[in-house]
Amino acid sequence: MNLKKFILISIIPLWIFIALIEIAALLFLPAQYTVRRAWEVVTNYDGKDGYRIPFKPNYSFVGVVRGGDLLNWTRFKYHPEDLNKHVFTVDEYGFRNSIGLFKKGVEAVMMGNSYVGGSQETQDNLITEILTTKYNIPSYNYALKPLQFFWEDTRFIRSPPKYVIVVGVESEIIGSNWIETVVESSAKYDVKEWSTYEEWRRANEVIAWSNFVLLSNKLKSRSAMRFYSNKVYIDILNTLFNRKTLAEMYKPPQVKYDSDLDMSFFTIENDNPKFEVYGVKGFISGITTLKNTQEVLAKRGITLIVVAVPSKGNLYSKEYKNIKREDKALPRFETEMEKNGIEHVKLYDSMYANSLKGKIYFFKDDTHWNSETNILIAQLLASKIKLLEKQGNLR
Amino acid sequence: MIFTDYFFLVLFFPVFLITYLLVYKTIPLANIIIVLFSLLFYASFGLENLPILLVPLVLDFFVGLIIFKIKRKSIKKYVLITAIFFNLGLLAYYKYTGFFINNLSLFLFWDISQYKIFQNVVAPIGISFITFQRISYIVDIYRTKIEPTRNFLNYFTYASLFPHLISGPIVRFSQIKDQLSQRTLNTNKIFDGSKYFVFGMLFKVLIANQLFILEEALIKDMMNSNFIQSFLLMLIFSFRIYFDFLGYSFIAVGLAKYMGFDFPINFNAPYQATSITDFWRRWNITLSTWLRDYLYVPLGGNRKGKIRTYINLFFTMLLGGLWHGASWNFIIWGFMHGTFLVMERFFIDTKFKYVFPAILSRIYSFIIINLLWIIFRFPNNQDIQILFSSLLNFKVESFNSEIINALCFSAPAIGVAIIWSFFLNENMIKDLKPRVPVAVGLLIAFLFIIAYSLIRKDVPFIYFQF
Repeated sequence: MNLKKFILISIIPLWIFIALIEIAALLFLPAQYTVRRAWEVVTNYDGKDGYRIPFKPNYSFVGVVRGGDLLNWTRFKYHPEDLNKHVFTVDEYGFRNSIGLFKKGVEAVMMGNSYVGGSQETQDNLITEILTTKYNIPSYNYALKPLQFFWEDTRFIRSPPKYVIVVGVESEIIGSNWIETVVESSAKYDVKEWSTYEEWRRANEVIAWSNFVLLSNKLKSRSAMRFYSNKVYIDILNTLFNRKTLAEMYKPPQVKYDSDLDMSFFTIENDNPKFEVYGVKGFISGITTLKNTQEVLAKRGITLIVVAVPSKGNLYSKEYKNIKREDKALPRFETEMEKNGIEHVKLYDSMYANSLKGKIYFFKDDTHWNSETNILIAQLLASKIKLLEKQGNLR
Repeated sequence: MIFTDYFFLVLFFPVFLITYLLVYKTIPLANIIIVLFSLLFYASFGLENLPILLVPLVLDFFVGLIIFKIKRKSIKKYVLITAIFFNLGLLAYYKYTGFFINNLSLFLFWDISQYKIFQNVVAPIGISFITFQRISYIVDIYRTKIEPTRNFLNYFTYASLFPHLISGPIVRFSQIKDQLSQRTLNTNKIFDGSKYFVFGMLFKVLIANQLFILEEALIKDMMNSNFIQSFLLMLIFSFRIYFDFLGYSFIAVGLAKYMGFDFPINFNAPYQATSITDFWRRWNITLSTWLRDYLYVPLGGNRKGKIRTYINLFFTMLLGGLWHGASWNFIIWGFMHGTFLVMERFFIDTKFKYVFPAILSRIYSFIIINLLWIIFRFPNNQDIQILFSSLLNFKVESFNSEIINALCFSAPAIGVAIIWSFFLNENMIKDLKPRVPVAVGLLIAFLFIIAYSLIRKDVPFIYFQF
C-alpha cells in the first residue's frame, strides 16, 4: 500500500488504535490515572447491596488525586495544593474505616453524608480516625447511611456504642435531614462481612448487557481518552483565561465564584444561613426530630451528640458574611439545642471569628469542609465526650 | 447506545470494525458479523426489545416468499394485507396504545388505561423506521419490483443493519440487494465513509448539540419570552433538528460505507426549498418517498381527479405527522403540512401563472416550515400558545445573562448553520475527491470530534424517539 492510499484510509487504523489503547487502559491502568477523585472508585453505586453499604467492602485506594467537586462546573484547573496523595480504606462491611475496627470494639458511631465520609479527605484526616488515633475514642464512620440503618444494623444491636454522633452542615441538621431521623422499629439487618473485595465483587457488581446504561457509564467514567481530553481542554482554557474571566464566560448556574477569595460556592441558596429560611416552624421541627432521636437511642443506652457545622456561604460568601448573629439560624439553633438538653458541640462562634481572621475551613473549589474543620470537630468532640464521661453519663 | 456515545465510538464500532475487516472478503461471514453486532446494538436499548424486532422480521421473510410463490392475485393481495396489518398492528400497539387509550378515556369518561393490557406499553426504539422498511420489502415483492431473497442471512443483514436500524434512512431492499451478496471495500469507499462519518459527527456534536444548549436556555425563560426571543427559539430549533438529523444520517451513511454499503442521502438543502412541496422533496427524502410510494400512490395519487388528489395529499401528510409520534402536536403538524401541500397544489391546478422570485419563495417556505416546527417541538398546547402569541407581540426586550452566554458560545454554530443551510448543500460532501489534504483534514477533525464528544454532554438524536 502506498502512502497516499494509507493517508486516505488513515481514520480506520487511528480509530482502531484509539480503541486498543482505551481497552488496555480500562483493563490495566490503575484507577488513579483516569479518575479525579478516589470517591469515584470506591463508591458502591452499582453493587446490588448498594442500598445498604456505601462503599466497596475490603477495598483500599491509594493514589494521587485532586479535590474540587465544583471544578466540573467551573472549568477551572485545580490548585496544585489540592493534588494530594489520597488513601481511602473501606472495612469488611463497606464503611470507611480501617479493616478490623469494628471487631476491636467502638465507643462512638458517626453519622453523616459525604462531609463525614470525607469525599475529599485522605483517611488520616477523617474525624473518626482523629478521634480513634489521637483521642483514643474508637469511632466508627457510618457515612453515608442514615441513622435508621444503624438502628436496624445487627452489629450495633448486639453491641451498641456509647455515643452516636450526628455531623452535618447546618442546613442538614436544622432541616431534619435523613441523617438524624430514626423510627423505633424491630427490623434487623445483617450487614455481611466480606473476607475480600474480590469475593464481594463477584457476588455483587452488576456489569451486564442487561443493564447497558450502567455498563456504558461505568466504562465511560474510567475512560482514559475522556480523562485526558478533558484535561487538555481544561489546561488550554486555563492557559488562555484566568479564573475570573472563565467564571464570567461560563457563568455556571450551579456555582458562584468569588474572585477576591478565589472560592467557589455551590448554588449559594443551598448555603443560606438566615433564620428566615427555617422560621420558628422549621426550628420546632428540627428540635423535635433531634429529641425524638435522642429518646429512641437512649432506649439502647446510647447518647446522641449533634454537630452542626456552619455552611461555606455562612462563613465566606459576600451575601451572608455580614448578616447579624441574631438573624442567622445556626447560633440560634445551638441555643435551642442547649435549652432542650440535646448534647451538641458549638462551632459557630469560633469558626466565624477565625474565618474573619482569614482561616480557611472549606476547600476553595469544593462544597466540603477541609481537614482544619475535621481537626476542630474532633478536638471539640473529644472534650465533649470527656465532659460527659466525667458527668457520669455512662451506660 | 447512540453513535456519539463513548461506548459506541471507542468500543463497539472499533471492535466491530476489527472483526469485520478480518472476514469482509468472505461475504456470508461478514454478514454474520453484521447481524451479530446489529443484535447487540439493538439489545443495548433493552433486551426486551429483541423479540419485537426478531419475530416480525422472520415472519416477513416467509411472507415475502409466500407472496412471490402464490399465483392468484386475490390470494396474494389477501396475504399482503394480512402481513401489513400485522406489522402496522404491532406499531400501533407499541406506539399508539397510550395515546389512543388516554384520548378514548377522556371521550368516554371511563378510564380504560387501568386494564393491564394497556399498561406499561413502551415502544421499542426505532419501531417506526423498522416497520416501514419491512413493509416496503413485502409490498415491493407484491408489486414484482423485486424478487424475494431466498438467502435468509442476506435478508437478516438487510433488515437488521445497525447503521440505519433506529432512525433510518429507510433503505429499500432493491437499493442494497446486490451489495448484500457482493460488495467491495476499497480505499475510495473507506475515504467516502470517513467523509460522511466525520461531517455527521461535526454536525451533530458541534452544531446540533451546541444549539441544544441555547434552545434549553431559551425554553427556560419562555414565560418571559418576547418577539426576538421566540423568533430566535424558533430558528434555533429549526437548525437543530436539521443538523441533528442530517448528522445522524451522514453518520449512518458513513458507517454503512465502511461495511461496503451505499445508503441513500436523506437530505438535499431542505431550507433552500421554494415551496412546502419542494421541502418534502428535500427533507427526510427516504421517508417522504416511502409515503409517496406506499401510501399516496396506493390511495390513488393524482390519478383520480383533483379533489381526490387533494384528499390523498392531505391524508398522506396527516399520517406522516402521526408516524412521528403519538401526540396531538404531530397530528396537527402533519395536518398543517397537508393543508399547505393542498394549497400549493391548488395554485398549480388553477394554472396561476405568476412566478414569484426565488428568494421570496424561499423566504415563504422557510418561514412556514419554521412556524410549523414550533408545533412539532412542543407537545404542550400551552407552550405553543405562548410562543405564537409572543411572535405576534412585537415587544423587544433584552435577553437574560444565561441566554446571552449561550448565544455567545453558540454564535459559531449558528454561523455555520446559516451558511450551510442557505448557501451549501449535501452534494458538496459527495463531491469531495479523495485527496491527501482532504484526508488529513478529516483525520484531524476525527481526532478532535471524538475527544470533544467524550467531554461534552450527550444529547440524544431527536429522531431516535420516532
